[in-house]
Amino acid sequence: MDNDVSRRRFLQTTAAGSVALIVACSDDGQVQSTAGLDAGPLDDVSVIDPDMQVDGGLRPNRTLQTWVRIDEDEGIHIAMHKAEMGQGIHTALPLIVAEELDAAISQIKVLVVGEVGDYTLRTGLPITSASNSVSSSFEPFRKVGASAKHVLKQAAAARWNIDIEAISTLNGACYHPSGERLTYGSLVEDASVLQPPDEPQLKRFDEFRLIGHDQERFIDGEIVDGRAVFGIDSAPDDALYAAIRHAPTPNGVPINVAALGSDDPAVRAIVALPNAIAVVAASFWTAKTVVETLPVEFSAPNSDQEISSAAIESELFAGLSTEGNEVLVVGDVASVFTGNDTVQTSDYFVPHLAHVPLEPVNATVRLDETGCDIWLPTQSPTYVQRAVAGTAGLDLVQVRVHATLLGGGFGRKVDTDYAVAAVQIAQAVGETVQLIWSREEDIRKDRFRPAFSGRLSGVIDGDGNLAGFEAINCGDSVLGFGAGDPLSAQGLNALPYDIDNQRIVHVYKESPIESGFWRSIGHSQNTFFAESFIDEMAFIAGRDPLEFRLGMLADSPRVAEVLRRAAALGQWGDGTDPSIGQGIALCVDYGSVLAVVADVSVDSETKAIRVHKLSAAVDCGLVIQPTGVRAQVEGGLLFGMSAALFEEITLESGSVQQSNFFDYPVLYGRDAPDIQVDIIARQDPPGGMGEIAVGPVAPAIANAIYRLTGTRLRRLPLQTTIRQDG
Amino acid sequence: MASITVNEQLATIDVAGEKPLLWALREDLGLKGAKYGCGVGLCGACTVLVDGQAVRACVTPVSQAYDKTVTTIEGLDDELGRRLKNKWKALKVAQCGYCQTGQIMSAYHLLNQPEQASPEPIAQRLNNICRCGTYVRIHQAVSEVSAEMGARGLTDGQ
Ligand code: FES
Ligand code: FES
Repeated sequence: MDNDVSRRRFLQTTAAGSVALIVACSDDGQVQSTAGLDAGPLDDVSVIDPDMQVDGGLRPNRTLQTWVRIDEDEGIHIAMHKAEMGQGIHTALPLIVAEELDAAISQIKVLVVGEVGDYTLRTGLPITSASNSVSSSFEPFRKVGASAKHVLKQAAAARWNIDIEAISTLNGACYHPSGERLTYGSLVEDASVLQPPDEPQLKRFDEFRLIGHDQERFIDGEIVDGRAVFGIDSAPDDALYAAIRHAPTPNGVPINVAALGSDDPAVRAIVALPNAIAVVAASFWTAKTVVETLPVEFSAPNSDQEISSAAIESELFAGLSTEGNEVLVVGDVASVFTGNDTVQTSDYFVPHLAHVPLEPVNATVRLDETGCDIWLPTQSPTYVQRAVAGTAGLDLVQVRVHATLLGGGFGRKVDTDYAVAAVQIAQAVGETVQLIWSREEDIRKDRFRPAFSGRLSGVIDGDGNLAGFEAINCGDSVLGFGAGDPLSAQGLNALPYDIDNQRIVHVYKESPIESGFWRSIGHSQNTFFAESFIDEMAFIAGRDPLEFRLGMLADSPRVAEVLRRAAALGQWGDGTDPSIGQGIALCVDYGSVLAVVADVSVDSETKAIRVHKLSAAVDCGLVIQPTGVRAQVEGGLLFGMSAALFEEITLESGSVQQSNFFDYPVLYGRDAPDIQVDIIARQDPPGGMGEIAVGPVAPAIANAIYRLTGTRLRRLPLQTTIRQDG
Repeated sequence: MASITVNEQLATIDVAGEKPLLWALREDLGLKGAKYGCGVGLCGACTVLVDGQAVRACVTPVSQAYDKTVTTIEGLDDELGRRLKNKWKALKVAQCGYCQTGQIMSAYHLLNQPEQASPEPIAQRLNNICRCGTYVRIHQAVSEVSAEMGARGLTDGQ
């Protein structure tokens, strides 16, 4: 382990009259520290002085993955750019540090920081997404904990004049063999002048005391008492409130703003934005009511009028026949398909989707001569810092991002459009402003999961095996990378199955409305396509869908085990109730494996789909928090199920037709199935858990419906499709 | 100027009577536990009690609470409220947590009226959206508190 770590520095500082022990780790796993780290008063953004003299370790153009700071008062702060949005990351990551540091978890506080000074991103994306939080942070967070512990022990050894090996550590203190104790805080000053070891000694997995055991979550007490502070709760008392109304079509601009007015005395300003108008008032309710009724005129190019769901769908299907980007070629599919009249080809489709986090996007902005304070729920403080600096003409260090709790993110809060709008409004009125997008604006002006078409082909050989598999999909890039976006083929380009001949092609087609990350990203369409089609091929081969899949997993025992465990948990093939059909589906990504069995019935009169039970088995390597993993599986399954059954954004004449829960229905508790989760514990590095459960739900349900009714549903949402052509 | 008793404290409030109770609580009384999720009565994130009845505060004019008693999550600290909150913590119900204050208020209302006990399962009678998908645990939490209160009621003769 750790041989990628070429150099390790560990410095610390005494500055501004206070002493703290600070250890940092960059994204590439180098544990470092610097005399420039400011150990003055803690501030949640400007902890690192951008002008600091770099001492060997830290270099510009790299991200600090984290730093840990231990103060003389025993407080321990851990910095990260990962936001808490319900995935429990602010429990899991401190736990990892506490484990290696042998600190008490109650000593540790989390700071969410943005991009700081010159320390920009080196690789990857500075966002809480792609389920990478625990998996990418595991090593760096362990290292800062272990490195800090080592110098604290060294300091204690010197104080007691004994060998460092004789010292044990527990709950934030070093122990002499006699039982005498020195707290970490009392050792900070001594430790802060010591050099670190080149390789801190990490614990063996079987030495973990905290990891793998559920911890109390301190945030839970605040949540149930209504004290937890989300973005929407962070307006200071003197703030004004703003509501926004965007142009109804993608390229509309407001044109009659000068003529608009309100005689409501509570209205402070009407502000024109490039693609919207905003009303600022003493109350959000006033602002929202007024902005919705103002006679605003928007002008838009005529082409906006031609945007419709029907047009998008026919373009995406036409795109399947055009040349695309070959993202994977194995063997030679053409030679297997040519002249074979048993090739099965099926077309699939998924619509645009909104995220609908229960907390709509919002941001609170205060501008003054020192810069900008912004409070908001964000999955990327770094992107916010950059976007606000650009909008307000400030240096990065003048933008102080206060990342609050997120009332759901799901990918929506990666984007910074709402932060930028809030800054523009605050600039216009010259006061502290909280901008809240109404639920209606949050849905209509989302960054949507783009619609995708898929054309999948396959052929079964004489032994009943899948001899060739081809998948072509067509849709937009959520990264804005055009045809080269690797996420567009995510869920098709790395299937776990051993198939001799494969060809995967992505055809890029820009969406006329904005696209964005949506929980599970490419899997949200591609796993539906792939796992439905694999099921089709199983039936063509006349084989049980579970056994058919296992037949292609002989070389992937870990994946096969997950499938078997899900099947066992879901009593696959039990078939005692003829009104229930079962479907199975699999997803492998983020270093994790998840399989799910769905038990489904369909009302013969109303065609109402009822999911009775979801039984999932998951292997995500080392489990940091068992309850957290279970919660992510439950939540991911239901998030996927909501979209699979109900969710669809449609467009007419360039306008999104949905605006609230009555026309964008999401899953309610009355429709939630029983959920069983089997966690397969392993001593491998932890995999990502936030997204893997989302993708396989739709195909598991569709496959169950096929088994039950003989109707293959190839289009989401299933509840709509089954009523149209079921 | 009108008065409302909020969480057992008399408050005076000077806003338009049609202002939704949700925004009066959040903006004028500084109680931010009730959340905005839809503004049209569909999600339940804004649920509070007015004279003991659960209402969706986003569609309830503040004037309907004049001279009445309002209980929000911040003031929900009788035995049932505490049991619900503790159960929520014990079962780690919350994910993002945004819906949970409304969920607890709705659950409280449900369990606080045994005389209306319905054969319908709890899941059918809680109509609050949780976008994070915590329904399984919400239903478990409510069922367990219901059972505990029922059992206690039998032994206490309540
Ligand atoms: S905000 Fe009141 S029901 Fe949704
Ligand atoms: S916990 Fe996030 S909406 Fe319910």
